[in-house]
Amino acid sequence: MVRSEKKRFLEWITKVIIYITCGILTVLSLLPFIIMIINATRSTPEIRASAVSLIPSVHFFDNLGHMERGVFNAFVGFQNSMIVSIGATLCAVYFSCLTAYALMAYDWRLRQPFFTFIVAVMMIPAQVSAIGFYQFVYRMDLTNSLIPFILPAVASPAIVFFMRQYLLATFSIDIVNSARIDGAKELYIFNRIVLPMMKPAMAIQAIFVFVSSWNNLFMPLVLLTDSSKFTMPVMVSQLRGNIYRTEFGAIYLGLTMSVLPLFVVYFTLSRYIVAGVQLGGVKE
Amino acid sequence: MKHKNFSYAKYGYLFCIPFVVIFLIFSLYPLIFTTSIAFTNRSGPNIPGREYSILTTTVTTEAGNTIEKLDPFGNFRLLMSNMAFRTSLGNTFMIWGINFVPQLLLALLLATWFTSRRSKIKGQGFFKIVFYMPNIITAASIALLFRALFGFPLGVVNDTLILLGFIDSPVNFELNTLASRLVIAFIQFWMWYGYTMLIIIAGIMGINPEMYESAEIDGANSLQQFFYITIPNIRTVMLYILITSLIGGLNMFDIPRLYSLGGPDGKTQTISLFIYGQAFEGTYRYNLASAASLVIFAIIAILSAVIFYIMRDKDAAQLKKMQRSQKRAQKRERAGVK
Repeated sequence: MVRSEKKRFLEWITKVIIYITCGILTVLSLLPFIIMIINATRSTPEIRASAVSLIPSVHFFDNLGHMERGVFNAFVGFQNSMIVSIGATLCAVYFSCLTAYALMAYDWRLRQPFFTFIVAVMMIPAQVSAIGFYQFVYRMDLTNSLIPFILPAVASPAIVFFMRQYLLATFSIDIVNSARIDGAKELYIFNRIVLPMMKPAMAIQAIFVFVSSWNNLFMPLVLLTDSSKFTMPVMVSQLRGNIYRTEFGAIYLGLTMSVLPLFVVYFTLSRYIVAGVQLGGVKE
Repeated sequence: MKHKNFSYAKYGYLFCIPFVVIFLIFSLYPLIFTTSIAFTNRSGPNIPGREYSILTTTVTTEAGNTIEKLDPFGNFRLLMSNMAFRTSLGNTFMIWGINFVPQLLLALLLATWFTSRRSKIKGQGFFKIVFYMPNIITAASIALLFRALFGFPLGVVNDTLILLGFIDSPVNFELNTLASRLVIAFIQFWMWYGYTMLIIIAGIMGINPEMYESAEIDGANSLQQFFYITIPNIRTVMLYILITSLIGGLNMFDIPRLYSLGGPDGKTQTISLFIYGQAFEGTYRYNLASAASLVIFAIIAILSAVIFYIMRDKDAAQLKKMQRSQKRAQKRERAGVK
């Protein structure tokens, strides 16, 4: 009897420790953003007086005014990032599905070598060929264009790999064959029958392509020099500039505006995103 | 049926064309271009009509006259003796290490707690969402946010530390090597432990629950279960995390770039920052930067090969092996019959 009581007490203690740890980590995750959002509404003198406050102030529009004196323009950044992210997401998801379908549905001679190749290049980050990429884009006269951030997404080996894994589990050639008997063309079958079947996998991958494309800093920083073409992360990098050195409120406001769209996306889709991360982990 | 399949094969090629074309243009060509630049004297800004050639060096022959000799690996030798490159290589691994070890440990702990069948944790869904959240947010914004929080003489961290009485006057974190490295490593840790935790949870969920059940019957406590069941069964998952994290770490750019610009005194300069600095910040040393890129590429290729090897479908490989030996046996038999 004493033994089981002791055991129960130990379990209780463990639970308390777990909840305290999780509570601390929750605060750690959220607090920097809370401070950021609150400070975005406080004036620089107020922040100077005390950097931490849990009470918002009323200087949001003053900060907006200060912010707009510099290069940082959240609306231009938002617009460009939207174009890049949506474009890249559409290209990556549609063509990855198409390539994965080609790997699954047809029996062609180079199928296996091609798949091996995709797995082999999956891990190579774009950054290692940045210099060649820059030179190439420069020659094509595409610096300060958004195309170099959208078009390459057509070839996304990791997403092809994921889509193929998904098809492997769900796809059956019988549906395709019966559509063929009805006289459907191959591309029509893919667009109208196979693509709708892949919606769950497409949704997961779309979120991750969108977010990683939105957050990309390296290549846009290299290629974009015209501030009307800056994407959000490049805009954010401008907040490091001298103009904002003393305008703390404006910096916090700029950061808030750069992060807000992602918060909205994340907290509306968080359950799917978390499930998607775990799925990707098991599959790979 | 076989005939039918044959007639559809061309669609397999057709549907891969967009992928292949874009890959050749935007991935393979730049990679080959980068590789070729690494062996040339290509530096200086883009000047149309300027010719570049493979590196040469002048050698004095025995007869006493000098000749030009090809020296394609000159950039790599230069790189190896370049102090900035060597420091950035060391910095990258150090910052990655400081972030990865605690990240993995915390993720393991949280994953064990969340998958424990004995103490069912309430609000798991909420905690997972909150812990993973920093991973989604723009790294550039996070770097500048932490820069503001760790500001000098005025910043949230300094304010708090003074308020709590730990320090008397504000500390300039930006000028302190250790502090700068620790903060960058902390940001990486903070952004990635949630992701690592989710992957490990997925790995633990994949373990057959009967193993835990029978261990419990045998009287194994949770610590024993962790070390003798959980850890051995998620070894591959942990290796996967290790290698992908290392590849990500080798490309670390956004945070050191915006938090500290590689400072103080180059002590947080990573390889990506080195490459960016050599190629795109006024010096235009494309050849040296390309050589550095190739070194990174080689390291990543080796790491990918390792992951490719450990992640391969062992059952499928076994099956193939058996089929092959069977075929060989049949051949031998047929030959014997003849």
